[in-house]
Amino acid sequence: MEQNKVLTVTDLSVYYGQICAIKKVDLEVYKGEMVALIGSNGAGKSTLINTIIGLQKASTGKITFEGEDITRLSSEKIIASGVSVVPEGRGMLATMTVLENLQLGAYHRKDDYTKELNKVFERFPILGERKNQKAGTLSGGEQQMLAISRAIMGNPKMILLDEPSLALSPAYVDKIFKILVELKNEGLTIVLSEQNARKALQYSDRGYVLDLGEVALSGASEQLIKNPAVISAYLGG
Amino acid sequence: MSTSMTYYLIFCGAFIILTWAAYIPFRSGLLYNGTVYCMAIGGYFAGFASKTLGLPFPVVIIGAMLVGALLGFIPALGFSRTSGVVTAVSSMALIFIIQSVIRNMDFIGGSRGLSGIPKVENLVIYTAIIVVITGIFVYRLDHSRIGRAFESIQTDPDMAKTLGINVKKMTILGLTISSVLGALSGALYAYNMRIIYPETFGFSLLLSVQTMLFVGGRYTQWGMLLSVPILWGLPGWIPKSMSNYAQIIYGIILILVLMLRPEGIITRELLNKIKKVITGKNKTVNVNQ
Amino acid sequence: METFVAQIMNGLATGGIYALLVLGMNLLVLVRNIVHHSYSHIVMLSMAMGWLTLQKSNNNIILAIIVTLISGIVFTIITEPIFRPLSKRGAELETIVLAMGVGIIITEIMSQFINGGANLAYPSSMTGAGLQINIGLISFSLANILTLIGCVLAAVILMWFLFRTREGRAIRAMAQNLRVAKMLGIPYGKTGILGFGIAGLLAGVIAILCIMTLGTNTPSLGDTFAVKAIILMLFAGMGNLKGGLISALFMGLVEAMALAYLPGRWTEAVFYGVIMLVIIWKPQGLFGSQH
Repeated sequence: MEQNKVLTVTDLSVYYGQICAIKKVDLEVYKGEMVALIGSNGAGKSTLINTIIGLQKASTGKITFEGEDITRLSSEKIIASGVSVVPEGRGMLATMTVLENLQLGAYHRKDDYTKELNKVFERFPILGERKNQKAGTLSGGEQQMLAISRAIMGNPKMILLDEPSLALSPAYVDKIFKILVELKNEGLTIVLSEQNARKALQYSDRGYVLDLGEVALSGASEQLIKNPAVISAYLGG
Repeated sequence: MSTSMTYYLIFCGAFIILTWAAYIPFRSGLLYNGTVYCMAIGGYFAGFASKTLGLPFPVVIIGAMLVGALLGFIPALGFSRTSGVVTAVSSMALIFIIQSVIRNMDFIGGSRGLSGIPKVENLVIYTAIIVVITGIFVYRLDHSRIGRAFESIQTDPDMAKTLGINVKKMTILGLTISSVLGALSGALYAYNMRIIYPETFGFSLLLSVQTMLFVGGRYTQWGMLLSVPILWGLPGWIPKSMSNYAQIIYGIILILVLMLRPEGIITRELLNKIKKVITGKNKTVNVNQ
Repeated sequence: METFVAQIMNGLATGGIYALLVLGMNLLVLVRNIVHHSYSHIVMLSMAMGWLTLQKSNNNIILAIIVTLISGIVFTIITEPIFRPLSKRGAELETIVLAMGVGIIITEIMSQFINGGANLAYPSSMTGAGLQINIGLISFSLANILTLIGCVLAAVILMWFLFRTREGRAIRAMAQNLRVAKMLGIPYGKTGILGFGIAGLLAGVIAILCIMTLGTNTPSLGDTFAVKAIILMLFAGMGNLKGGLISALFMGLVEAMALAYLPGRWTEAVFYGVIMLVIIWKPQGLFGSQH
């Protein structure tokens, strides 16, 4: 099983000055799974994602991606080694076109990415139609499709999504999760953080419950979704 | 007291007032470059009023302040709508405009400058008094409701609006007060130099004001008491061979301060520490009694 | 009629130079949130470096051109680390003051060390020597035509770079949303320096075009151009590349017309007065700020 481990987070702590955002978190993600990080606001989900991708410095602990220690690596290098991010709120480059956003998704690639571009337009014809439109003019759901497409332009091995269902209409939420499952089945490893615990656990393989920066629970998603503590805290039960 | 010493002191006094003129708009976050424009107005008014109209010193000073207020109020109306970079840059235009206007007005000397401004006996004492009065005014303003309003505008203009502060009115007020001080400074300068040129009130001067404000301590009114005498006295401290480089040294000091210690030399933290030391010592004495 | 056309050409040539200056400054605004007031001073200094080369190399024009271009790049990149602490803490307003400091240092260096501050004259072979090209009944100054062509080329190449290349998109992405740009793997440091480098190359090009049009260089030129460029940048809208080009060109024309047909003594006041009023009326600029 070890050879299939894609991401390992060991004993990770992140401090903002005196304030502890993440405390001694252990996490592992295996190839081809979808792992959900759930928890309420301020639980540390975003901080965890930002630290993995290199935007936030870890105070102590270790992060390993595909066997390589990426704890102190710059975002640039982490992304180049095969990790992509879909930021919270989608992170649209609003005044740039759909096409330009996609092209920037392939920024760190030196080779030709036309194939990937065409795949995106196949999967999401609407992006193809709107490719010369400014990204800011798209609807929320379309922007999310664009953000995900942008993240896979670089042919990553793993993508991190920060609250993908945020501010999306219920119809789109299911759409987006189904797309993620599709991508997972094509071999992509997915880690996502969500406040919408029900959907996240519904579609993912395993989950970690974060509370005040620590891992409170972890396990198979179908177990977590039946767990009484989880139900009362996050599933409105 | 030697003449060069009085000359230097009056000069310092005028520039302390000018830097206060720049300080006040900055309290509400505005980098206002019209201070030099007001100085030009004050200076030329003083020169003209005292030389050609023969008005006595006190009348001229008050007149300069009034004229400064009026001619500063008008652009202030426009600048109430702008902020940040836009205000800073468009107020630069005022400098060019006033220089151009002065050059075209021959009755105040035009490009040749305005010379023969009458001497005022004991100018150094008057300047000292004026500086002290202005200092007290600035202090009271800073610590009043208005001062607090400025502070909140600087911190977060939108927040300030929700607190009921009329940002536009406050901006105009701040800029007008600044204009009065600028003109006052110009008048004192004119009486000291006894000859002024349009070129005097240009970019070099503007940069000097910025340097004095930012190096001294941009968030307090005491910083310039330090930076003005030092910066203007600099040519006297450095060896004669380097006196050509004075401007370059100012530039470098400004750059270093902005890069490394942006708040300036006299920061609020420093002031608090000094206050603690002073009041702390007092407390100890009381306890022992 | 001939004077009118000649004035138009003059206006277009100067307008073209303003346009390139605004373009360079807009680039620096986009890349690092810097209002680089001393960009024009760097141009003048590069011109002076070219002059020095001519003096030392017995009027070797090719060498002078190369030195001018390199000076532009080097001097601009040197300012990057100076501005970096301010960019990092988002102190956009202070960058103006910082840039003014740099500008004054450059002006002083030119006044003190380069020809003692006197006018620098360039050989007529570089300035087109008032050569005229005659089309029909109208003669055009060669210098103006070359300058205009140079401006158009430079603008087109720069726009191509910004809109059609990977690095150009990266620079625009950084300007749009720094956080997202970092999340896409765009390196803050390297991309910034690239932006400065390109602005620097542009500065060198502008310097050469200025040599052609102006023919002389004085220490005070830096301040004059700096204020005009910065004001024009705000006039169009900070960060607005296309708007900046158009309005700078237009103002160049307006200035030339005003110089020719209005009583000379008031042109400056009117020029600045009008622009200032427009900026106050529309703080976002005529075409909107892309910033």
